Amino acid sequence: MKRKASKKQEIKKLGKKLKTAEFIFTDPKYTQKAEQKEKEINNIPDEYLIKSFTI
Amino acid sequence: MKIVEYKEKIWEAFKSRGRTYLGIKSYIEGYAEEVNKRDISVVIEKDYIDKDYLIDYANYYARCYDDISKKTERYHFFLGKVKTIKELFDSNITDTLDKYKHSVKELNKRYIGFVVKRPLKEAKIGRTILKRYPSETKNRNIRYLNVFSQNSIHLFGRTLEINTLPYQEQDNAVSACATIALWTSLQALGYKFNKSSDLSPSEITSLAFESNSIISSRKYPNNGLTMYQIISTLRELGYEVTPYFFKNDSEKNLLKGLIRTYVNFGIPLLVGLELTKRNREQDYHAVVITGFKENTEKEIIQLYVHDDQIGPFCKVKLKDGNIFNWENEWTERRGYVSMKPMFLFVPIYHKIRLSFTRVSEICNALMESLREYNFSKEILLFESNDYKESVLKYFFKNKTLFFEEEGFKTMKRMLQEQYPHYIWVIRLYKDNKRFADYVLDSTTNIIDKPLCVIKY
Repeated sequence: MKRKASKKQEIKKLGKKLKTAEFIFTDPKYTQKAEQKEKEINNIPDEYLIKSFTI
Repeated sequence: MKIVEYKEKIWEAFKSRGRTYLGIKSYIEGYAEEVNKRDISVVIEKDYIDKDYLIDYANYYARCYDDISKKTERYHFFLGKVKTIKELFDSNITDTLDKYKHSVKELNKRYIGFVVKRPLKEAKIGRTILKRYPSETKNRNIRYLNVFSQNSIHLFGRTLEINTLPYQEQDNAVSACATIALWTSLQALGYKFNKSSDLSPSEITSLAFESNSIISSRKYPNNGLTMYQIISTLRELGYEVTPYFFKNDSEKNLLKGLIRTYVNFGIPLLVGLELTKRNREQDYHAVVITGFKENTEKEIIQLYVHDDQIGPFCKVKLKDGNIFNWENEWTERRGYVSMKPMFLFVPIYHKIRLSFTRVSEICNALMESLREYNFSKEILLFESNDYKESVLKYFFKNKTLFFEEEGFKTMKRMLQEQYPHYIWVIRLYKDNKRFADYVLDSTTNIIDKPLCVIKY
């Protein structure tokens, strides 16, 4: 009985933790960092775009 | 119909300037070894009309002075002795439909695939379709070779089916490496996104020059395509392209993560390799990542690429485990001292707008906020219907889930919701078991609250 109650409590606690962590998805601190990263890595500088794959 | 025993001599007919036939030879022999079979038989189909070659012939070879045939030969490889394969193809008037069905089933089981031999002096390997290796290796590592298309092969009244990624080598006339990398990618993309992928190499090169002709080199004979041309060709064909530029080696986890995610989803990754020889300027070569191998600790230990100058699904070792330091024939036999993936092009359905980079960054922040629980994570891309089905099956299969009834409720709610066609999923694992899924909308470029959270 005791074990069952403690498992229930653990489920509740972890469920809550997962819910709380959802703030990450909308917090500008993280979303802006993600956007910045995208700008850095998902852009090929113009000088490379004209390079040919020739082998 | 000619059926012969597989011998080294078969490859004499494929010898040319390139070494691609050696890659195919070792792939076929390796396949037989992997499935513990010794005997291979070869069925040679004469005067075969290969659609890709025929179009390339019309666009280029027909107007060469040399007398070049428009027909090819197709070499089919089967596991088993010549006598067995002959019997399966033999038919006589007293045969029943059941015997025919049995022979088709048996031939499908034994079929390794085919190689088209083009009548070209320097580039004989045409369209090649070879079965993928089994996913589990002999030492319990796992191969992920999920980038493929469905292929029906018609041979003497029998239809043979292989789900694999077609391959061919460049001919140095209508195509160089970049055209072939595009051709390879289009095979898988067409299947994945239900679009026609019927262009031959010469048509792809032509389209690349139409999309962007501000380039000094000739269309035919083709010396290669620029990155600009690769991107604009894919866009012209209705795909969006997310380019990646890896200036230095600092993004190891990001590169590993995106290979894992897109390969698992079935997306071919077009890679621009920087090849370096001592005291020489860099060369650039295009290949397609088609899979990876993971050890029991779930680390990527090897990649598989379609390299039009080495072979299909050719192995890439990672020097010191570094995903940016590739090793294979280019570094081992062809004089290059280093080979580095510098550019990556992810061709994707245009409505998948949220990039892997953003999801990955948010996922890292999420892991940081939950670090006390020692979760491991995976980023997945799904068609929402496939996701629903896979989650439902998982719940039915696994009866002892951490969240018990509460988890089941989250799954039931999710099944009844409408979701976009494609979704991103951040999956958390605890002790190698699924723990939770954060499901994200892929049709927006701004990360928002998850569409739902599945608790396992």
